Amino acid sequence: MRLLGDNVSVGDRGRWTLGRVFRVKLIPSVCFLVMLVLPRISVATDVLSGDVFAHVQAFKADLETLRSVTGAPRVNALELKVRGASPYEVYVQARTLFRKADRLSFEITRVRHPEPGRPQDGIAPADVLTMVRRAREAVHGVMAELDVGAVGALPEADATKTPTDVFRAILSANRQLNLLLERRFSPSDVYMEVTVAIGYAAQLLARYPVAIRIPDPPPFVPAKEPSDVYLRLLACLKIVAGLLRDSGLEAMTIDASEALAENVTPSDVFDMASLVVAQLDVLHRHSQVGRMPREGFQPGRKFPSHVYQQASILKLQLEELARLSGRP
Amino acid sequence: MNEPMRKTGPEAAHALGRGGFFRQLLRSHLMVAGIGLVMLLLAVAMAYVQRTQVIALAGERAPLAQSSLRMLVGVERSLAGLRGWVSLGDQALLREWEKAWKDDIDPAAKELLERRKSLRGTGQEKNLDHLLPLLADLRESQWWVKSIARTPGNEPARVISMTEVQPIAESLEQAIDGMIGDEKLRHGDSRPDVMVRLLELRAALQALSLAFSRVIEIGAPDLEQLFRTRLRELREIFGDFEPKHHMHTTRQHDLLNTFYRDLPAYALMAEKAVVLRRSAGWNRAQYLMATETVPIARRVHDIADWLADSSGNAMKSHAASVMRMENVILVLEMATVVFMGIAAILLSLRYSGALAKPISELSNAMRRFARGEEVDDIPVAQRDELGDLTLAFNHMRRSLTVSEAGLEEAQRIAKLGSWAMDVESRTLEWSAETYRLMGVEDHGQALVVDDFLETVHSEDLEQVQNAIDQAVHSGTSYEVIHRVVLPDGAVRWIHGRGEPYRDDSGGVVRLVGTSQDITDQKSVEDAFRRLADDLGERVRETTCLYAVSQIIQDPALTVGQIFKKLVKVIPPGWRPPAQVGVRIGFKDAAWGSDEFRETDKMRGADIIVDGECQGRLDVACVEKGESESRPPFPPEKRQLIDEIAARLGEALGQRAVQMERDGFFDLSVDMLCIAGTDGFFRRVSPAWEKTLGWTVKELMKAPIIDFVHPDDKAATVEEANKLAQGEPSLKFENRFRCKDASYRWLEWSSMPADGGVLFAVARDVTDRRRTEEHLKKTLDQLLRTNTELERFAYVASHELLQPVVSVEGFARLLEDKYKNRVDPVADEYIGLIAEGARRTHQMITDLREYVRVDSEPQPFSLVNCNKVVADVLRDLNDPVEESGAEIVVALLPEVRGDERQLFTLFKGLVGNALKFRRHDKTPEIEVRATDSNGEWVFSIRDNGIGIEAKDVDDIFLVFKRLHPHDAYPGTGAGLAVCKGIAQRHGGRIWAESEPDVGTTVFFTIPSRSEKR
Repeated sequence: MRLLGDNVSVGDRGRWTLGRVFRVKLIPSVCFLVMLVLPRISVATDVLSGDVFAHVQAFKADLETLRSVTGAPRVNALELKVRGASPYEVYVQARTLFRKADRLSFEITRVRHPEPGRPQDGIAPADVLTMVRRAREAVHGVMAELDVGAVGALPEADATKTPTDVFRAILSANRQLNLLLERRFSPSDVYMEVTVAIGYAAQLLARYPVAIRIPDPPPFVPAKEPSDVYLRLLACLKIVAGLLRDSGLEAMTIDASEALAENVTPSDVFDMASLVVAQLDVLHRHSQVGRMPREGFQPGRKFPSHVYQQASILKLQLEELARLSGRP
Repeated sequence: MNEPMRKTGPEAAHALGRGGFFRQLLRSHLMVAGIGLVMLLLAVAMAYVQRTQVIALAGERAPLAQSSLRMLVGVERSLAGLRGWVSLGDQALLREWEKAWKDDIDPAAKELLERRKSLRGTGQEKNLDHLLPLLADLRESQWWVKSIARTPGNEPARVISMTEVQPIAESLEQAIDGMIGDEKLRHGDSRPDVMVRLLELRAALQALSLAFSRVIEIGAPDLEQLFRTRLRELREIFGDFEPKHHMHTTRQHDLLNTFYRDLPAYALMAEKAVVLRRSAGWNRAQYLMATETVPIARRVHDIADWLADSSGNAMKSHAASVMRMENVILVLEMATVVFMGIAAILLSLRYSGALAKPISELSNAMRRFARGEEVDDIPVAQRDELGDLTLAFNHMRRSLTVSEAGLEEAQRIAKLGSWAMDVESRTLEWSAETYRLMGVEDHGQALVVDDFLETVHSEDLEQVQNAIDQAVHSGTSYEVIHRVVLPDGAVRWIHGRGEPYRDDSGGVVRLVGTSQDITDQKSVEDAFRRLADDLGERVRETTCLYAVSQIIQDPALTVGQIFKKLVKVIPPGWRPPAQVGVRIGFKDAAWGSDEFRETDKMRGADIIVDGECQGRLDVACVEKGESESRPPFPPEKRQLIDEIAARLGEALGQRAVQMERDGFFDLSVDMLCIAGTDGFFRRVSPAWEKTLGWTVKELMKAPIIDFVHPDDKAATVEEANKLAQGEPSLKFENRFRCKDASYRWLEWSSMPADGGVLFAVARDVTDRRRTEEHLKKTLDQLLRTNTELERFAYVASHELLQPVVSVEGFARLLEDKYKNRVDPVADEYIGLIAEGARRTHQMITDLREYVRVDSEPQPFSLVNCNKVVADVLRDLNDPVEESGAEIVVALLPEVRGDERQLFTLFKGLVGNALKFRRHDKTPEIEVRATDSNGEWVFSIRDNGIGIEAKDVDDIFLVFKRLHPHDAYPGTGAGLAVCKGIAQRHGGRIWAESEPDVGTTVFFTIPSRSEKR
């Protein structure tokens, strides 16, 4: 970040003030307009996963530039075996990316970016690309505010890339982005997301009169860690994926082992919770329950053990749902 | 029994069949019962219907109503708890909400679900189907309310305030404070207008924050207006700064830019929060409660209320039905009771007359028979049940007559008489056997009680009268054993028993009893009692004798203590013990029991110890009483006294012997012990404790092998096995552990003995062992040193000899070849070399000889010294002839030794005598030998030059010379070799000499087992 010293003349200061206004306000505004226009163009020109992947890679390059300037730690690799990610799941992950980027933007530039609306007629790579571009726009605003060099160049699109590759890339960017935040995604955020999932599951269980929609919480177990919550949510994700497949829908699978434990952060857990919510949303829409899912709420300070307890309620709900829907 | 009797017996009653009386009774009873039965069946049917109604009431309607009401209560309770939680945040209220579901709503819902089948097709079933999903909705809705309330997220406006607005506000405040600080730092008070504007800006910001907080907290429209006013004011103040930017410092410039950036964000976020605060759902829990939870609860409430009402109505209808049926049943039951009463009266009146007459006749006959009057058979009027009863009575009467005769005979055989007494008249009725037992003639006259009492023995009379009186007055039965005196004066023992009979008023009117002759039984009992007394006496005596034996064999007691105890244990040999007193006199002292005093009834016995009377035991009878009937000193008691005295004497004798043995045992400095074959000490002497530190108890408590050193255990066990086989063990040594954990060497001498024990003496040889070990180590070290020295000398002499021989040889060659050819000095040098080499050669040769004494020993054999000396003289023939010496050799003995070394010894000594001769005298040499104290003392005496007394001991040192080479040749090793040979043969060597007189050299060789 370049700072002006006392030896700079008043005229310089005036010009600098205008420059800053230009960078902080004008560039993001122009970018915003461009981004608003570009999705329309992209939709018209059949965006592929390779295009999205190239943008995510550029986004990651921007993040790396920011990271090196701010001195934030580099995120550890998280080895996940992701298979069969659908555009919708990639979209949800990209939406999380955008929300984090927006939070970063507000923390540094005090500028909020409106979240793109969700398309009503299915998700395509173009929608994911829109979300990634908006996230990138927010990050560019931050870079301008911090006066950090040029943004990353867009690499050539690789036609062989699949939605799963894009998913992995966004997941990686999400994790790094979380480390740049001043107010990082915490167990409380995960708690809120899991509570939303509980709301979805309760709505789905309402189809069965004998079902217990929200079971009693299991006993509180102290000293749980983010990895415990992560694995529990992963188990939930597997159940939901099974329910989706039973309904004739595609569902992504994620395999993770205990070895993950050291590298998992609350941000990763939040991403996983978001995925669960996303899949439940798909199931909810498909089941035509009719009731609107409930909104989340800020629960205050929570520990991983609280989140684990909440995730256990969700797991019980999903197991009940699977049992009632005839899954073994 | 004859045939007619059998027909009238009890069995015949069945043969008679059911008669008219039976049929009449049966008919009348059946009529009453039949009518009653019909009415009862009617009542039962009504009761069954009533029961069904009651069950329906109790089993279905009532639980349904109850569950509905319970649900109503539960829903209200849950709402109350939830409202409390939302409003107050009290955990107790939350628990109340949970309890409402667990205790009321869930059980009620379960109960309703179970009752659903009984409501099939009714309106209640439909309502129930609506109710259950509503309950699930209610539960879910309440769960969300419960979860959201008391969280920050309950008020989204507050969340935005905290997470978005507050950080920006803080950033703005920091910017203003930074500008003020910078103004003070750079310009001080020189620019009051700038400072005032900055302070105004800060005040405006603080006012804005306050207004915003109040809006979020209270949410009133006027506060919103105030907030917007404050925001506008802040913007206006901040707008003044823009045109005057040239007045600001660089830092102020930067901070103003921050302000410029954050203020719009603040306004945006704050406005967002205010809008949310103004919305209806600003408090999500309350909103959810009002819009969702309460409406659902109302619907649940309505349905449950309807269910409760409908069940209540149904219950009322059922209750009315039950009441009606209950009235009908009551009427029927009352009619049954009335009818049954009337029927019973009429039938009883009809049949009572026919029944009464024959029963009355039968009753009179039975009463007369009971009084003992003669009664004939009652005629049978009709063949019905009463006729059967009359026949049975007749049969019983005849059977009783026969039984009485049998009873009388039985009494005679058992010597058992029966009697009865009329209390009022005091008259007696005796059976024939009673007359016989009492020795009274039966004259047919009535007896009274006094007649009986006259026969009773005078000593038992009071006892018998008391027994009878007590039975009469208290009504209790009695038993008494007494004697009766027969007319011939003989006494008979009678066991009498009496049983009172009472009249209706409870008074005793009659005594009935038996009297049995038990004279024979009493005789046997007396004999047994006497036998038991005798047996008791023998037991007492044996116990006394046992106690005496225990005391006198107790080694812990002194003689005085023994006597003191004995005088107490002997009296219990008599009964009672206080009857006798005991005194024991021993030597000049006496011990007596407290009761003892000299009386005219005494019995004593002498105490003989080792055949000598050393005391006396006296027992005196000091008390009268039983002694009147039984003498105090029957033969058994006299024998007891003699036995006690004899045992006492024997024990005192053994005690003296034991004391002597113990004294020896205790005073021994060696460790004496007696051990058992079980591996434990039986007894150990005090020396053990002194030597090892263990107490006697500690030594005897553990196995012996536990005290033995681990390395010696195997050998000790082997030695113990030998002892177990009867072999004695001598000089066996092992190490024994002391109490301080050190070990001491013990030398054991053990001897097996009879009775599975062995006697052993252990001696502490630790010091000796240490000395031996020290000596052994020293000796070993010495031997090693000697061996090394010998080896060194031997090797040195061998290795040196070769070069010396070479030098000597070449010196001679030089001498032979170049003597007198070079120059005189060279000749002298060559001569010196040759001489030196020769002398060195000789020294090495002698040294080898000296070493060879011990390094090359030959086994000893019997050697004739005469032959050896002869060989020596033959070998020294040249010097002997040259010197003209006169040599006298006495008769020498045969000794065991190394012949070659003895040859060297004699040759050395005789050779020295020849070498150190005086040239002015003819040498005289004598060789002799004398036997002295088991050894031969050889002497070789000469009349040579002799030796100074101070040098006598030095001549035996190796290479010690007393004279120069040129005077007497030689190396000085000869006598050292002689000394070595004498010592190897177990002897000594020394010399006695006087200058110019001569020298005698002595040496000794042991003479044991040698023949001369």
